[in-house]
Amino acid sequence: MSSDHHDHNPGFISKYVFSVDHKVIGVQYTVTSLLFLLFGFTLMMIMRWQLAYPGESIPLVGGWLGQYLVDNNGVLLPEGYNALGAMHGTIMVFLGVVPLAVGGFGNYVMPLQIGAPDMAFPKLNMASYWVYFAGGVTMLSSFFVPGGAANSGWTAYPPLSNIANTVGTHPFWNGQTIWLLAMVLLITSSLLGSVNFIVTIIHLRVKGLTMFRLPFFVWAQFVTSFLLLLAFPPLEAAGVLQLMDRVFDTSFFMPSGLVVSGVVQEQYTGGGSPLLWQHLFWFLAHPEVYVLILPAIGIVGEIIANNTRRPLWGYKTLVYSIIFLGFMSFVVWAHHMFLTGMGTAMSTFFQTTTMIISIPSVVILTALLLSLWQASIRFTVPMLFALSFLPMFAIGGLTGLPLGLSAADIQLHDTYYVIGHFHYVVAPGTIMALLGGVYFWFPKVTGRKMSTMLGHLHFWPSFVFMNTIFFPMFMVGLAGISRRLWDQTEYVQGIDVQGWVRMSSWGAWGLGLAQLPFIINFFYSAVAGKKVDANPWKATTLEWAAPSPPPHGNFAEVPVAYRGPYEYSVPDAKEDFHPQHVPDTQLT
Amino acid sequence: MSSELLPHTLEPHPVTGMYNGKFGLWLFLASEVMLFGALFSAYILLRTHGDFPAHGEHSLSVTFGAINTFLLITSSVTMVMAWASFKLNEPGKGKFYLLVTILLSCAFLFIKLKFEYAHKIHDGIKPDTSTFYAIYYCMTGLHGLHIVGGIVVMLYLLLPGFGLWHKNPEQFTNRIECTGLYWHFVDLVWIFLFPVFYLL
Amino acid sequence: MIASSFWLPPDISTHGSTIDLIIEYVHWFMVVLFIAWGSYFLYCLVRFRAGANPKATYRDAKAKPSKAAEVVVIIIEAILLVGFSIPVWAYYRSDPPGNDKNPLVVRVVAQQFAWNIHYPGPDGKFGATKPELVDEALNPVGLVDGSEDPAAADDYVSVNIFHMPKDRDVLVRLSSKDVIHSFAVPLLRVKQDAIPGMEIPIWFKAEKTNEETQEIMRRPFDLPESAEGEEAETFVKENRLRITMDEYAGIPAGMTLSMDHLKTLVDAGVTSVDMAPGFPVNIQCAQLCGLGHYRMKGQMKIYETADFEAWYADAGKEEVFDEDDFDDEEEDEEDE
Repeated sequence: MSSDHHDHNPGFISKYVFSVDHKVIGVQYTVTSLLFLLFGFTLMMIMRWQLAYPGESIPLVGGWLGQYLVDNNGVLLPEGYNALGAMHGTIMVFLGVVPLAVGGFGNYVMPLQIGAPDMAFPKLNMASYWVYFAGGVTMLSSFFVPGGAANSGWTAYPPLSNIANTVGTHPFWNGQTIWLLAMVLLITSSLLGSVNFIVTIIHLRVKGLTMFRLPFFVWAQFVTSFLLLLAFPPLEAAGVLQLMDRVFDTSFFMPSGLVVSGVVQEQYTGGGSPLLWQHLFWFLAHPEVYVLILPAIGIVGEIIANNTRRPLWGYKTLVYSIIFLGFMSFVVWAHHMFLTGMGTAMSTFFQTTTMIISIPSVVILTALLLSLWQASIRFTVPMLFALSFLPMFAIGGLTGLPLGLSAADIQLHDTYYVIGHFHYVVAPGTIMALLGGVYFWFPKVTGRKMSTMLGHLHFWPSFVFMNTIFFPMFMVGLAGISRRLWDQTEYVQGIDVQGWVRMSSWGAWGLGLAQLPFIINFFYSAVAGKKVDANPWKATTLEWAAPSPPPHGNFAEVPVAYRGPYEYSVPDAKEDFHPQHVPDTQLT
Repeated sequence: MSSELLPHTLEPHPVTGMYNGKFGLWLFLASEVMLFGALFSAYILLRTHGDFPAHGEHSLSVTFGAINTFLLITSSVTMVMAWASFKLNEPGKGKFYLLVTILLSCAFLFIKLKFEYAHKIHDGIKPDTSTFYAIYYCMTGLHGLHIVGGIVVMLYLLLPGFGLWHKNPEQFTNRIECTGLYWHFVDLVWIFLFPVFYLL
Repeated sequence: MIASSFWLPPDISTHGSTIDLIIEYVHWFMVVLFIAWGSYFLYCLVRFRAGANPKATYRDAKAKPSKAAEVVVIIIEAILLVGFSIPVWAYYRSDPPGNDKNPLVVRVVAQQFAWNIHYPGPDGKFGATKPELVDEALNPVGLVDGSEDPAAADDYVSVNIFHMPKDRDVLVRLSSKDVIHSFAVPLLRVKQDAIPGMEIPIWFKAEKTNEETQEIMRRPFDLPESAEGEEAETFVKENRLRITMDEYAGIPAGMTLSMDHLKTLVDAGVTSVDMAPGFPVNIQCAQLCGLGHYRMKGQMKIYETADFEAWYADAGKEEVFDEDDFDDEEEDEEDE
């Protein structure tokens, strides 16, 4: 495909809206997904009110949430709580973190890091963004249809999801059906994107940039793309099946003899299996976890190498570890399903693979920690975010162990312990890393640096509140409180842990406030931040060889890679960093 | 305005031995394998699960299935002929074979819709009749959509997209090759679908 | 100890201690690992900050200790897996109590948003059920008439109250009428998804009756200084699911405290009362099942063997479904 955008002067629309330039698309993805993250988080801040103060009117926003979410007094309805929960999960994962990590950072940084003028298929790249955008708009539109948004959880387990949003709603334009349509769009967008990424990484590397000279971030994107490519189609298949169940009354997920609210479900012939959905869903959704985490690890690797001023420890070990993680992530999915009537053989297999997959994670964490040894650590704002990732990702990973051991999972399954565990991986872990990435590459995108003072005002409260939110969940979970309860004080144990629950809620609202400095910083620095040169962090990888912001076509002249990605503090050298694109002759 | 091509738009990359489009298409097909693989797995699970109607309770016309199999295989052959013609710089013949491919696939769709779906629905056999028909309509329907997608691409290449032939025949031929790869895959899916639904 | 004595609810089952043990060992392992990583991490941040170490070292640090640590991690995980988790699961999933153990066999049919506990009655045989016979109020599991299936005649269905004896194996055949639920009894260390179209067996044995469990869970509560005002109302609200364990100021044991009770107690100068949950052993739904998921709550009534037999003999005689079980839990608690 041709990229005829390099040397003519496009109009505003084709330059900033329907642009085929990977950098514009990357910024579009970044801004859109940051907005979705904020929106998804806002939903949770509303839910946390009901949890902290069950049955009390929601302050500030309770009045205008609409009849499907709140009652006349502004108290969150149980079905409204479920709708917000389902949409929070869906938005954060599919509209927030993945588009930011892959669509945003991947699109913007990866082609620069391999010295490419653009992605291999620029028009396809634009299509990916707009299909994602359409998916997002479709998803949000479900808040406004009769019956409200999907309320069967982001996992959408049938039969519940098959019979949800069916009473008093349009037969087609209802919450769960719109959810499925939006998911099909989002999956399609990811598939287009992943094809583009893999071809770009393999084909468009500049001369000298062998696979083992690729920055770690590019490797992370590479493995992530394979996961997206191969894991998403089964969910697409499952989505189509559920769509047929809802629209044509087929029985893919409906067994015989269902009686809902005393009514025999005669429209279904039965013969289907509810577990079929779970297998197809988790076959995607476990690799999806690594789709969320791998780009974050990649970003952390970049920032750590740059700010420790020494080569990333065990670069090859790291690369092999994430490849191994990628493979293993396809054979652990049923550890989400230990309690679906699984026999000893199956559970032994899946808990063994789960223990095995923990090992590369330990290796990755160890390698990143060893990179700090004998380093010269600069505590820049991105570095603070990257460093905070390490202990919080460790907590997230470690708490996965009791869940992965099926016997311990009996007690902890579907409790707040699980919520705490995976949020530690994706929120304090991944999102902190992604925010660090924003600070790190902001000078490349805008030519200006973000304010350090506002950065500190953003980082420290965020770090504290992240833990305030999620750490109490382990205690609540151990106490045996099930997840997704509208009001846990129905149970006496729920009343006992109410203090922890309130602590989480106040943490969530605090975290919301803590984002204000970031929002201000983002816009203020974009127009009035301190101007910096092309390589303000004194970094080595190729994106810093391009001007800031890079022009169309990215590089003034096509760079050549002369060495590996992290040649920092080479003994007896003039400077403490050797950029990949500078030949040896110019360094001595 | 000169259009500057990205690296490896035409010349194969030494690592993969393919140009960008072809490599991308192979990756896309890998994801398609996962899509249909998931559906075939669903079929196996439903069939072994219990309430699946026994063979004989459902009757699909083997004759129509066989005719359609023949049509699709032939269309794959004409697709190769089209590519070969463009490769040998015979655009007239290439366009002819492309047209034949389109007509054959339209004939496939016609039989599928008119003599199979329409008859079944007329007889009251719909997706909700049994899990067999549910997965039958789902998989053949999805396959049909892939055929429609192929026809749209071929029509594009034949009509508005043909202009590229005059600008850059090699790039155009590459597009034909990619379309062909996709087309063979769609054909291959049918070769699995036919025995699974009509014969087993 | 970390996990079990502080945060896990008391365990009243025979198999639960093994699960608690795994949870505890894993948490110790996690804590040790985290502290080791964390102290190394903090040390590095201080020792190798740019101010203290302006020039980084190019070559990789020797990784012998970390490799050794990784091997230790692998070994410990293998021990947890092979030595604990797999055997416990094998018992929990694959070794149902046989007839020689004379288990109480019960069907549990989950629905939105209740637990139907179906007892076979004295004949020990479950009557047939049909979906079309289901009546939400009168026949929640769709049991056929006694004339059609004699086995159904003495069957008994209890809604949301699970009566069971202690020290006897209970084998539950778990299923669901509509959507996926999850039968979770934290105090019995039991959790299993109830999936429509499947009947999944689970089994457990309780070592304590309700009363004995309440004794374990009893703890003192400081009364508010005044019997009026917000503090008093909050106190009553927060303890609405608890009962008094002893007699205080003429208020008998087993009462849920009302505002009036509180006034009596405060007037009599009582500053602290011992309370325990009225129904200590809850059945929760652990899988999102719709808008009533949060209130899909059942209660276990665990009796001494003789008491259970007496209850069971009575219950079995009633052919129709017992309306009394629809009573509000608050009233039930008053009965305690």
